[in-house]
Amino acid sequence: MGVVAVVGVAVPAGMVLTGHDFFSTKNVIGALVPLTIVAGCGLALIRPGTALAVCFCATGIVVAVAVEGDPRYQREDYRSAAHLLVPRHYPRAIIETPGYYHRIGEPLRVYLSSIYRMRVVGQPVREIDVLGMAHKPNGGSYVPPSPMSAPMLSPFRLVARVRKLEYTLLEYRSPRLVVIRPVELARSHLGEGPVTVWYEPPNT
Amino acid sequence: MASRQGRGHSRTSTGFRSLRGRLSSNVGERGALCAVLALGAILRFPTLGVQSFWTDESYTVELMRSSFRGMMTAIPHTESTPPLYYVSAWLWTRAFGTSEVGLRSWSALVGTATIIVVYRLGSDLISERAGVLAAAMSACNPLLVWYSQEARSYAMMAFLLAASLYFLNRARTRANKRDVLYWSLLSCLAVCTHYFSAFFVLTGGLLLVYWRRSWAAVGALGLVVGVGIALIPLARYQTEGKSYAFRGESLVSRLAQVVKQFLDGYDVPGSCCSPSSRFCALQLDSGRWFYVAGTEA
Repeated sequence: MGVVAVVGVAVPAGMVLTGHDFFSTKNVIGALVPLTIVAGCGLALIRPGTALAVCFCATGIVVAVAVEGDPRYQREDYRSAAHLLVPRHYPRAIIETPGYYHRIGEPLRVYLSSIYRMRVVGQPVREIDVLGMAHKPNGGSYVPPSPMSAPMLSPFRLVARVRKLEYTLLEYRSPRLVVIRPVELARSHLGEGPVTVWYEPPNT
Repeated sequence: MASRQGRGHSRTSTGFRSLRGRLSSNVGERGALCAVLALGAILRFPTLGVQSFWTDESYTVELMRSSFRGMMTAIPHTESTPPLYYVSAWLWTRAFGTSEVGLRSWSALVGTATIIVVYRLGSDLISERAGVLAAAMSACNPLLVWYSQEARSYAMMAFLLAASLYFLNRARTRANKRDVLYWSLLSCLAVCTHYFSAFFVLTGGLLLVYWRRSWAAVGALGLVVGVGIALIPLARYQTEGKSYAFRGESLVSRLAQVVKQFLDGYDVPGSCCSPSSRFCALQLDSGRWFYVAGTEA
């Protein structure tokens, strides 16, 4: 079992040195199964094994409970951000960072099915919501998004600001409909990475 | 005669005592397994909807909301893994939906099933007690709990690898071709779930050929290698030109992170003072004690 676990981790790690870099914890999670069996069998052979296993399990339970109770240890919270973006009776744009290149796999769209990518030629909007998701490195803690890269276009004015651990949301509103192109909107964004500009038609 | 009867009576009562002891021990171990299984399920199922879908899961959600053909067409473009997990999850979501609970419950189910397989494997290797301890540790491992609550292929990969290892061990200890066949089939399924399964099952396959030295073992390994080779074009297409966030970190830091995450889970900040790290040190210490005691004996 131990050999299987060690080879399963060592070979992908060695492949990094040859330029085939796909080594990360989730990809070698298979090693955890034989390692658990080795640990269980090892503990069964020693007298305080059960007590040690109970300690290990207690630690695991504490961690699992902590993860469910503390947003710092959880996945990025797109659901809560989407709930803040309540439907409006006028059209709006949403500038999201980081955005995604693929046509599918956009977490915000999982929760806001009415949004779609803004047309290149531009569309009329009365509100612009700037959403910057906090960056969370693999296994690390949240890093808040950097401030706005450029001031928002006139005549849009800041009307609300929500700053949470997982994201920052700024709401800009204009007294009238303004036709804007996504390339203009993308200049004003929070945080780093690719920018996606969404359009949401009015909620009738 | 009386003495022989007495000896017979004594032997019978000893046999009964031993049988009763074994039965009560078995009942105790089985009860412990049930408790461990219930604990594993409690850690996995009730909180499935607590967290939002994140980026990687949103790919799965959109695939699940497509038609079967649409999903199979999209997998080469959006995923870096083979299609088996998505096919199984697609079927699952026809019954349970694509909400957080509906979609993730498939991973939670296979994550819970892994506990049983780990128990059986530990029991076969050493004893039922070893099986229960290994099952308890897999039930409570924070990383296995994390991926049992994620709509991605990792929990299914762990389950299929555990099942493959179970039949690998059976094939090693029993001269039964059926075990070799089951090992081969489960290994193929594991490779069709995640490419990295290949490193584990090929190691197991080479060990199997070494242990059995039979054409059946060579054929079983050949089947797994064949499936792996058949998946290479898809793997190449899927990974071509893609960037992965983890490549920004050095290999050493990623290796350290593997150790930390295997012990403390995905996101809980780990340090040398964390409870699991201290426990690990204790375990190493007890291992050294065990080794020293054995050497002295």
